[in-house]
Amino acid sequence: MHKYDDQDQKIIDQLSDFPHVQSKLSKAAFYDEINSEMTPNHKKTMRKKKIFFPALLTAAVLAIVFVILKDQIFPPQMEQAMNDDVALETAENTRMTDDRSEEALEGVMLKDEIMTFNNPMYQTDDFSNVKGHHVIVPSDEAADLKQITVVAMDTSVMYPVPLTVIDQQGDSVNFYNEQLASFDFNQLGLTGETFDFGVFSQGDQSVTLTINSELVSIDSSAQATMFNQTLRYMFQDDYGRVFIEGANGEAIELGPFGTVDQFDLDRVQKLSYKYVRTSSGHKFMVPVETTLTGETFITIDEALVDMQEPVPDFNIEAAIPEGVTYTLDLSNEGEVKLTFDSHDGLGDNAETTDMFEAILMTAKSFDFNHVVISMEDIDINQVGPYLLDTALELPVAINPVTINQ
Amino acid sequence: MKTTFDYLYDTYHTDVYQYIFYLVKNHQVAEDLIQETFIKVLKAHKQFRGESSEKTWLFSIARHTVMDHFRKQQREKNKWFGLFNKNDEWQQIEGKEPLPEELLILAEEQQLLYRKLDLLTLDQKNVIILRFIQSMSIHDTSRILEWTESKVKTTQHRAIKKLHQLLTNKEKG
Repeated sequence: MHKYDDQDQKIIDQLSDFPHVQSKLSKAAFYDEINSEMTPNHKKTMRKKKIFFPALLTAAVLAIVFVILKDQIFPPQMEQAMNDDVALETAENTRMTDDRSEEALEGVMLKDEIMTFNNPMYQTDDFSNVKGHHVIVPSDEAADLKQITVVAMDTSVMYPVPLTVIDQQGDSVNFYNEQLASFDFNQLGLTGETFDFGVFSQGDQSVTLTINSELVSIDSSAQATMFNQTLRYMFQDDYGRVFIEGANGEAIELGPFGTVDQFDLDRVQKLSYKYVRTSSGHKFMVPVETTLTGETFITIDEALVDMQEPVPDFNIEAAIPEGVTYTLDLSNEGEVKLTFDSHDGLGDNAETTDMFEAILMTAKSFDFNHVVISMEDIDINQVGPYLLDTALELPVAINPVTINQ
Repeated sequence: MKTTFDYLYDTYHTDVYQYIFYLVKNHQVAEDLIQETFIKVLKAHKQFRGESSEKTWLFSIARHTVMDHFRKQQREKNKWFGLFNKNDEWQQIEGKEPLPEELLILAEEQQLLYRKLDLLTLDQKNVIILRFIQSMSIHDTSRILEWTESKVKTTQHRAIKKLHQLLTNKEKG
């Protein structure tokens, strides 16, 4: 529980005493205005006023007071040690997700165990049909293969991690129903318990989730958010909504959502892409929907700034390395042009390639058409498969995974 | 439509107007935005399914309307910047315009607090206005902002601490 001192309480009291402010317009005049606006063919004439938009760049310095324990396997200690606001929120979420996240954390394999695992079930890199590290671009051979989005969560259950299963036969709904139950997210250092919620069925223009109400328990807002995010990432490309029903076709009570019979799938957009390093040693790209202070991104420059912010408590790595500076030029429509200043870490290396890929995805989420990246004082013309000073195509998917047979 | 309008106006107009006003701090803009809000509400009222309370639904529409307004403002601003450097200053600016007449009765300390609201992030401002000026519960605030309750609590906590810091710095300065 957050504690306030006397001065804080005084501020709260003063805020509560702010005067009531009322419109100067009478009810009748207000109605006339509205009626007029709602009349067909009426041309809207909003008065323009200038307002300064509060900046979003104010960094709330998150006191990182805790050196996170290896592999995040001791959540109770993590809760005790984290004493800033983010930690408080996380602790609450962790408590709210109750046993589910604890079970997930217990199930995470230690890195050493993974290393001795001789027959890994999943391949996450070195694909012959994918040129990059963490994305599939239209010119990749893998882009022509069936792609199925599977949404895992990091083990803190704070960040969704969309995976793209490639080279699978059949449609995604069958895959979700038949194979996800046996998908071992723990091998990738992730958790995916949110998939235990029912059976999907596909109509012409819709998908329906028949909830197994005995298994599903969405009691907290955190769980509700996860549930919603998972559905959004899985289906928003193909469907505007997912219908929800119980075994007998009835609407379902889903905790904070109330009784629901469908979910509208808001478009996943305006994201900052970063990376999560999992306990298994895997590295995955992670879409982030808000800044560290919880604000959504409005313009791409905010997202780019956020991409430079790691979240060590949750093993989230910055996609743009610390200390790297750049100039962003958005003057050409549909184009993100970034010119990076000289920096020791930048070059034809894995870190820079990962940075490029995260930037491409971020630009895509803001509906840009392509990205041009230049680098000052550097004697190379490409980074990984990505040419400098050239319009780069935007990826079609992230985090490719194949299931070894 | 008039009947629905009468009901919505009598029940919510004052509260929603106040919410919008404290966000934008300008009567004329607030008038425009509440008008836009009510148009959206009247158009959608038949489809309102009661999954949330009518009040939180209406406030949520008002919030989105204000956000859209701010986005338009930001786009206008970006047009002028074109070339946007990461080091460009883009931060909260404390308003210098005269106080609205309703607030002139406030003590100097409270007027300062009103000014300092400008230095909060939009999310923080939303929470402060809904929780303390509008006296909304954490639950209702979370519904309006479409957040978890824990996020509301955390943002509220940070906002109060930030205001405390801003006011303390002012005193020292």
